[in-house]
Amino acid sequence: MKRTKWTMMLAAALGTVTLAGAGVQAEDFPTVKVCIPNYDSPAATADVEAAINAIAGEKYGFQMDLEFIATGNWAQQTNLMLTSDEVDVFAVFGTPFLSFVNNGQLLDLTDYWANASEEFKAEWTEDELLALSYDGKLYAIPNTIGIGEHLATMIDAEIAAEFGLEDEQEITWEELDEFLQKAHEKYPERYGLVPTGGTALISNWTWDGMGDKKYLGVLADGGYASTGTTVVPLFEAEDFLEFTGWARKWYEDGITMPDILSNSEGWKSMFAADKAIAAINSIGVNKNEGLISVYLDTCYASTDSYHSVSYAINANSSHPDAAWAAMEALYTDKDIQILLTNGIEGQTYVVNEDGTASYPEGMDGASAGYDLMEAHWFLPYVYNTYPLKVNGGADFFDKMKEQKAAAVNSKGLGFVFDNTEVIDEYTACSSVMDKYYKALMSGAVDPDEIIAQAAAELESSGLAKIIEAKQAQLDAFLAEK
Amino acid sequence: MAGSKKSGQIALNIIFVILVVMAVAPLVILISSSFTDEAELLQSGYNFWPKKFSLGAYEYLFRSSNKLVRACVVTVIVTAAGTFINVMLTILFAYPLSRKELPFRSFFSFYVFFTMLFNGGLVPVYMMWTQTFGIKNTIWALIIPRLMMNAFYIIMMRSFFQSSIPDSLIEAARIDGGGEFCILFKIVMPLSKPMIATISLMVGLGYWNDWTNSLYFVTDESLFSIQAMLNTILTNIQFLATSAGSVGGAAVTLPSAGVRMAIAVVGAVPVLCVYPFFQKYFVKGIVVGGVKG
Amino acid sequence: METKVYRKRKKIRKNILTLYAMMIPGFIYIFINNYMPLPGLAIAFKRFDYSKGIWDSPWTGLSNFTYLFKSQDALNMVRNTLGYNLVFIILGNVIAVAVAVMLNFLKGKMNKKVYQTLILMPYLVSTVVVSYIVYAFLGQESGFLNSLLVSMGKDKISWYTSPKYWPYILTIVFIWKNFGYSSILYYAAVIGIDSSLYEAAMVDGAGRMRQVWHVTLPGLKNTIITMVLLQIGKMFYSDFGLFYQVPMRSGLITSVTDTIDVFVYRNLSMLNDIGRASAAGFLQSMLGFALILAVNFIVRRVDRDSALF
Repeated sequence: MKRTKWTMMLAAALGTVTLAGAGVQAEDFPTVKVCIPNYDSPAATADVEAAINAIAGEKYGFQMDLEFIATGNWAQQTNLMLTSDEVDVFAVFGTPFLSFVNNGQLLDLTDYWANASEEFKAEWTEDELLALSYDGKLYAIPNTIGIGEHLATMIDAEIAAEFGLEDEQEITWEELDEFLQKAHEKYPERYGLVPTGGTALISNWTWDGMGDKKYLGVLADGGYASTGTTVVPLFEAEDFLEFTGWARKWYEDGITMPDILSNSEGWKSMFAADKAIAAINSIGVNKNEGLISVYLDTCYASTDSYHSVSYAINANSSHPDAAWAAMEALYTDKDIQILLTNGIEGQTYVVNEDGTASYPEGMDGASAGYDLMEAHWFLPYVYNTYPLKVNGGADFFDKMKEQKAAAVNSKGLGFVFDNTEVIDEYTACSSVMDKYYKALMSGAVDPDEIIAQAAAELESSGLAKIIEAKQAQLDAFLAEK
Repeated sequence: MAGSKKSGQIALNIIFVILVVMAVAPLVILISSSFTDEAELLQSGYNFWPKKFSLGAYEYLFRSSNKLVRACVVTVIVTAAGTFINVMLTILFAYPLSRKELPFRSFFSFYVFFTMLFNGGLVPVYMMWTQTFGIKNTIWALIIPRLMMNAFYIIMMRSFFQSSIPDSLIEAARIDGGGEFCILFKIVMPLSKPMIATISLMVGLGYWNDWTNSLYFVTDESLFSIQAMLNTILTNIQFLATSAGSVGGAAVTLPSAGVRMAIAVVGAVPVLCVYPFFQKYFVKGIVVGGVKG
Repeated sequence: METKVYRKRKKIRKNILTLYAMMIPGFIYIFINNYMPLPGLAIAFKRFDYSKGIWDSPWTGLSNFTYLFKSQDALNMVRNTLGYNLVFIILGNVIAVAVAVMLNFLKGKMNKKVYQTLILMPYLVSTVVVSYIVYAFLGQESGFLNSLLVSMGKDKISWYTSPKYWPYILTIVFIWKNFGYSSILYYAAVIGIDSSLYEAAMVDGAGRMRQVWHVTLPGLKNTIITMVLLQIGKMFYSDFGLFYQVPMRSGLITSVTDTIDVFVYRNLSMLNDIGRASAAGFLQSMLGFALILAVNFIVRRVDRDSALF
């Protein structure tokens, strides 16, 4: 609890003065609570926190209380913590960015950002920050998650080799289809395609929802279709119809797993158990063991890309200045970043000759007690840290930066759709989308029939009103640029 | 027991065997999956008998055994303390409520009953317990909120006292000079063993199976109960499965289906071991006439 | 004479005070746990702003309630909630009473204990795990039911995309999960029935069935009525796990598997709007309250003692 930490720190500070006899004044640095999502709570968190605090006190004037919260519990627990000043710096994750803004949960960072160090400001472009702003105010800072990933198909390396497909090769839908048919014929006991979006082949494809994760009105083809900056209903978007067409074909041909709609297994375990031939996914620079990736489409960057994970300050924080200092430290201080990402050298990681990191001999994430290297996309800034060896080399993060620079930005990048005016229609349409979206993205249902049904329901739930609002807001946004 | 003919007994036994089979058969799937090799599970799904036997799931669990042991200890402490406090509070409240001579009795009944229908909502409840009472991340957070008294059990207990404890008995004790506490502990409670055992069991189960107190009031995973641990894992999996694409193609090895089943088994077994202890109170101890022999 | 009366009155007063004293801890707890947060229901009528807290957030009248009615699915979810609860109450109680009565007639301590323990087992498993078990039966490719159908020469059924089966499936799962647990309470009540009443009935020549009809059921009457009334009060709520997890969140059957709680969760998990969630809960409580007042009133007319209040 915060109170005990206060007291302990106070006592420690006083103790240090008494023993040392001189030196540092017995300042009580404010404790900044930082909450980061992860798959579980690593055992060595306390050690990492202590090491970070050894640096943070002197250099930045704050002490950190670091807490990792499991993704499954994240939304519920952070929401409750935000009702008071229990947390200071946290990841905007799990629930849409705009819902945080509308709930008044985020602190306005505009002034802090204006006075931030040049180093910090140099990292992000204006458009990127626009994606995390609303009404002229900045509310969150992007993180170093892979932007501009390729939309690709992961294929079991051995099988791919048999059919002459190489890693990072570009492929068309037809070629992919041909390969899948032949591969499935040869290996009928394996599923041709396994889902990466839970029960959908993949969570989303090239359409840009502009901050709207229900895709009730999108820019088709990442904003580059012939429709350009016109907002269209998802069910009329060319790329959606194309994708669902292929999904359906593969389901009917028996290539997709028949039970896809009730799937609860991860694709990784299915590949490991030799149960899968391929899976469609968005692939960054990272490599997956035993798999190669072939690219289906270019990498787009849209507002949605920046809405996966970003970092913000609790509007109810009792010491926002210290919280901002902590943010700056997390984004600019190399030592803290390495501690946060890799852990304690020798204890939770070792540096290899080639500049990559691995777990100490014979250990894995669980036994080493700290596994954030594997989930670096949850952290604020990781470009300066040691990448995991399995990802291919010390230049891994440089490659990520290159990929991001090379990404094609959607015309709608930076625009965030505000649904407060049409909230009732939005709720009604969301529930229609929930019914049909995943089913269509899995191929388990007939698109012609279901799309017609869904479109009718959407219309009577007021989709037109939403699209109109979105278009108006988008036009206003583009005009201002 | 009245009317027990041999054939009747046989018929009853057959009916129960059928009921038991229907109740337990699906659970056999659960248990056998926890003993099946992971790759085999992915290959051929769940079955009544492990196609390829393996202790892998349990090994995985016991590798992170200190987490599991701690969760067990937490759950046991919370359940024991919570059940005891709850049942005591319930009895202390229900007994006066069952006395017709208590003034404003219907007010108090309504006071209790009303709570079953209306709920302040999660956010106000949370804010009250964490800010006003400061119990977050302590073991009290698992015991006190929501579960320490339940209107349903109070009403059940009250009804039981009303209908099964003859007033004449209480009157007699009063005339003999007994105070109310004395009457409660020496007369009423011994006669209410079946009901007290039943409610203890239900309250106990409520605490044992509860994971929402952990979810809402505890972020320190070392204070999680077994069910909270299981629930965290399961919702992690669901979350990853539904959003894998958007967080860098989450390439994490999720605990296999076998491990999830194993945790469920571990969560259920202690209850089954403790249950017979309660069952011995399900005996008749009811007085006929005025005085209990 | 006067002093005797005086002493008796003093004694009665002392007893009553003791009774009140007993109730104090419980009273306080209920007040803190249940009544203190009640003003928070105001959130249902506000636009909750986290930075302002409950009291300073702006009022919005009834606008948090409109989304519940605008959706086409709104009628569905109410129908589903009430429909399922009605079936669950009737079927659930009948089966629980039957099991309790049968268990009571059973001879043999060992038998009773074993059966009772085993039928409790389904209750102990969380609904997510139950959803996996159901999947083992209903899976498209290798589920038991489909394998059975294939072996009988029929076509496989895609269970998770066909709405018409789910009312039956969910009812079966509910009964399976709960009958052991609900029978415990009735069992405790059954064994509390005076055995001399049974003997009297036997003397009158009543066979087993007539004994049940004339002795057991009347003895259980109060318990059953209380249980049913309490369940009616919760008629607008539902077991979230059952309706959200067991259908494996399949979107195509939501017209028959969505209840109010699931609908609210599904919609609000994306919007994260506390006000709207609170509004739904408020409505559920009010409607349940109204319903129980009505039913209690009827019960009071018929048999005053059985009414809840």
